[in-house]
This record gives sequence, C-alpha cells and structure tokens, in this order.
Amino acid sequence: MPLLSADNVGKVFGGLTAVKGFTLSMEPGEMVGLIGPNGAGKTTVFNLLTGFFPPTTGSIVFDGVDVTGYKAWQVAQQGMVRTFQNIRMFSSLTVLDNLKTAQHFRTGYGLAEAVLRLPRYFSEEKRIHADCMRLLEHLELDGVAGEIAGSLPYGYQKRLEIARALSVRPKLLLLDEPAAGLNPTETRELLARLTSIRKEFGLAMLLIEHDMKFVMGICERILVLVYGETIAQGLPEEIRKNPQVLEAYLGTEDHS
Amino acid sequence: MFELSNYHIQVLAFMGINIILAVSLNLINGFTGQFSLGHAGFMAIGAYTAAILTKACGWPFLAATLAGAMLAFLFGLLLGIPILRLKGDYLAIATFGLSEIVRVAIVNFDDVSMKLAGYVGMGDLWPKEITRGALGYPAIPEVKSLLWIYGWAFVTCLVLRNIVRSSEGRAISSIGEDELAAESLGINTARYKTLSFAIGAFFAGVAGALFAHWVTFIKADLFKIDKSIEILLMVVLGGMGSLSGSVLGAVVLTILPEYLRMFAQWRMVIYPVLLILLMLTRPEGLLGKRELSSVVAGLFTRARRPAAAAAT
Repeated sequence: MPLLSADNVGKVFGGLTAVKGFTLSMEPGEMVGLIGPNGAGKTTVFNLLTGFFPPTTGSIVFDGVDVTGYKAWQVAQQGMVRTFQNIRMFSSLTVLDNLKTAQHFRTGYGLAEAVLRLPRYFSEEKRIHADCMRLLEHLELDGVAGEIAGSLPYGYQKRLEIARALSVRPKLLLLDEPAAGLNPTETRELLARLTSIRKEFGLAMLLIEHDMKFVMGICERILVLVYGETIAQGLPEEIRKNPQVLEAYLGTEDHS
Repeated sequence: MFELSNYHIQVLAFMGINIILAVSLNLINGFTGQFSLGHAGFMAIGAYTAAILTKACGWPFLAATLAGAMLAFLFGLLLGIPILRLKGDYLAIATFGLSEIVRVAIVNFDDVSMKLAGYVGMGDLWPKEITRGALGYPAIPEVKSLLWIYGWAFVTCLVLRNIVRSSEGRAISSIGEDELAAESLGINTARYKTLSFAIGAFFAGVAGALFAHWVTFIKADLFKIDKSIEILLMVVLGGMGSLSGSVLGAVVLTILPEYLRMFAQWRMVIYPVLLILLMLTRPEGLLGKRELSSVVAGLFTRARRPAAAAAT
C-alpha cells in the first residue's frame, strides 16, 4: 500500500487554475523531488497535500486515511509534516522549546496535570526533554539548545526547521527549498544530513528544490510541474534528457 | 510600626486586583498573540454574577467568586470560537464590541428578562430587580480583605506560570510566535486560542468578583473600554509574554497615578507623557518576553556568557 496517494488533485483560485490533475503515489521511505520554474505551483501542491488549502478537486489518501479536507494540524498529526520556503521559526523561543512544541499533540498529560504539577507532568517533561535533545544531537544542534532561535545564523535556522519537523515524528516530510540560501558547503552537508536522517528515521521525503545537482543527487524519482500541470515524471536521468523539461526550463529555439 | 492608612490599603487592594487582570490578559494578548480589548467585559460578568449571588442568594464569597469566574470562562469559550477566527485589528474591534454587549446587557437585563419571563408565563415569579440597570448594584456584602485579593493574585500567577511552562503553554506560545508554523506541527490552534481566551476570562471574572465585594457598589459603566485599555497598558508596559512583567506593570500603573496626584490638574498630562517616554525608550516593555527571575540571573552571569551561537 502506498504511503501517500494523491489522485487528480487540483486547485482553482477564483478563475486561476493553480494546480491541475496532480497525481502522485509515494511508497514509505521513498525520496521524490518536485521541480519546476517559478510560479509553477510547487508550493501550492505542498499547501494542498498538508491541508493548508482544501483542494478544489481530487482526493488525498495518506497512510490509509483519506485526509482530503483535513485541517493542517490534523494532517500533521497523521504524520505528514512540511517546512516552509521562508523559515517560520518560533523566533523568541529557545531552540529546545521549538522542538518541544512540535511534540505537543503526543504529550501524555493534560491541562489539569500541568496546573497541579502531578507526577505525570514531570515524567512526560523528562521524556520530551530527552527525546528533543537526542534529535538536536543528531542534527548537531545540541550546542545551541538553549539559544533563542531567532538569534541563530540562517544556516542553523534552516537546520532547526528540519529538526522541529522531525520532532513531530513524521512518516513523510515535505521540504520546501531546504537548500535555498545555503552556500555550497552547507548544501553538501544538507545532502549528507538528509540521507542520514532518512536512514535513521525511515521516513519518506518530498522536496521542492531549484538546485538541480541537489535534486538529482538525492531523489529517486522526480516530478516536473509547469503551470500547475505535471509535464514529466521519472528517474533523474530520464528527466535530465526529457525535451519537454528542457523546453520549460530553457525555452525553445523556435520564436515564431 | 508603620501603620497603613485606609487610603494605602485601598491602593494595595486595587493593585492586587490589577495584577490578576494584567497577568490574565497577558496570557491572551502576550502569549497567544490575540489582541483582546474585551477584558473589562469578563470582569463585569464576574463582578455582577458574584455580587448577585452573595447579596440576593446568600452564597458564600468563595463560591460566588468561582461561579462568576466560571460564567466568564463559559462566555470566553462560547464567544471565543467565532471571534478568534479574526486577527489583529479586527479581533480587537470584535472583542471591544463583545465587552460593550456585556455592558449593555447588564444595563437592560431586568427589562428584557422580565418580558421574556412574561412570554413564557413566569412574569409573576421573575424577580423585578436583578442587575438594577444603569442605576448600579448597591450594598454588596463587603469583603475588605487583602488576604483574599493577594491569595487570588498568587493563585492566578501560579496557575498561569504552570500553564505557560507546560506542553499546553508551549502550544499557546507557539500561536503567538507563528500561527501557521504551529498549525503545521499538529497544534489545533483554534482550540488553544479559545482555551487561552477562556482561561484569561476566568481570572478576569475572579478579579471582578473581588472588586465588587471590595467597593460594594458597582455599575456597568465601570467596565467600559477605559478599563480594558488600562489593563492593556499594564501588559504592554510590563512586556507582552512576561508574567512577572505584567505584575510589575500592574504595580507601576496602580501607584503612578496616585503619586501624580500631587500635580493636581497636571496629572493627566504627565501620566500619558510618561507612558509615551517609556514606550519610546523600551518598546518591548520593561521586561520584554523575559521573566524577572531570568533577568536577575542574567545580571550575575552576563560577564561569562559563552559565545555558543557562533560555534560551528
């Protein structure tokens, strides 16, 4: 059974068709890239899959549950978590608290237990703390656990956003331009990190990225989106040679 | 031994009530980032409910206070669901409207409820005077006890501190930080916005009950937008998102106008000028988002703070 199966998903804003007939099936642990020129509707696809917009047409089934029309928080609780193109950090919270926040819906105590400081509060807080610290260590962020997230350098914040998303324990992670704004060294580090994360947590990833070397280097399968429509789909080598893709990216020689 | 005059005791009482109001509003405006201008409305619900229960129904003070607070909580819960869909300025206007509705409802409660009771054939049974309309509600049983007020202020601070430093509190704070990001991490933001609104309303209700039984005479006009703004000033001055900041804000803004009495008619000129100066020099409020304890601790450790952020 596929982990994600999006069938004929479409979105119309007023008279504008942003995404049309988007169909994607992903197996657990699979790594898929979503590419396309600016304004092709890649981020809209993310918004549709993760419940930030309800789709106009089509259905989305995730992990055996029909999540079409689910709210974003419900989709996240099912195990499909996304990051944002422009970082959305909890800037005035500490790095550690950013991760702890992501564990909220799996916390085993309620409001009354928190107010009265019952034993379960302490045992759960201890568990969450240890869990988040382990994750920070894995992403080599444990050194800045106590720092205010907004004060970190850009590269760290990008990494923190991934760590925070992982803290939800997703089965599918959607990364919206994870390498944007990173220098070549940082991009190489990210590539290695994503590979190791995938191995460690056994999760599937869908990523939007403009850096072709990055996408070709990490993804098993690539989807090309142009004007909201999927024009090609296949292995990286196939996409590289696909004339329609080349046309979309580079234009044609024909100027009639 | 230094003797407190009645005047001093009165100022202390209002200070304690203001602490409850400011700290509870900070949960809504500061931590959750939902700009509310309706705190006085919830205070009015608590004040009238508790006053009617002690005076007309003979309830004990604590039970009446809790009942008033619970009613404010329920109002917060029910009205929060539709209202908290709004953001920013729109939410501010809606919450202001909400507290105006509460005020007008109190003024017209007797007439309207009488008529409604008449329609269902209970006109003779229905009491003629419940809120006593615009005349105000007099002769509330007096509970002039600083112990009650500061006991409740302590409980308010403790409960809110425990909430803020918990998973529920992190969910609430994350909404104030970035609502979309919170949603993307599986946090039901609508639920936590409503919850924080209702918890804030609960303690505003408590403050109203304490206030009513201290002054023994209340009227709906005491709970106008002026009061909401006064509480908001304390929160902003102390620092949005800092509980101890709100306590500080309440203390300063209760005492300051009293000190300024020596300037007689210049008081209401100096007071706003001081506020403007404070906001110009410290726009994030006295404590910002930090708590007093961490500010004090920071004074001692600043010298040897490691440059961890720069390490790779």
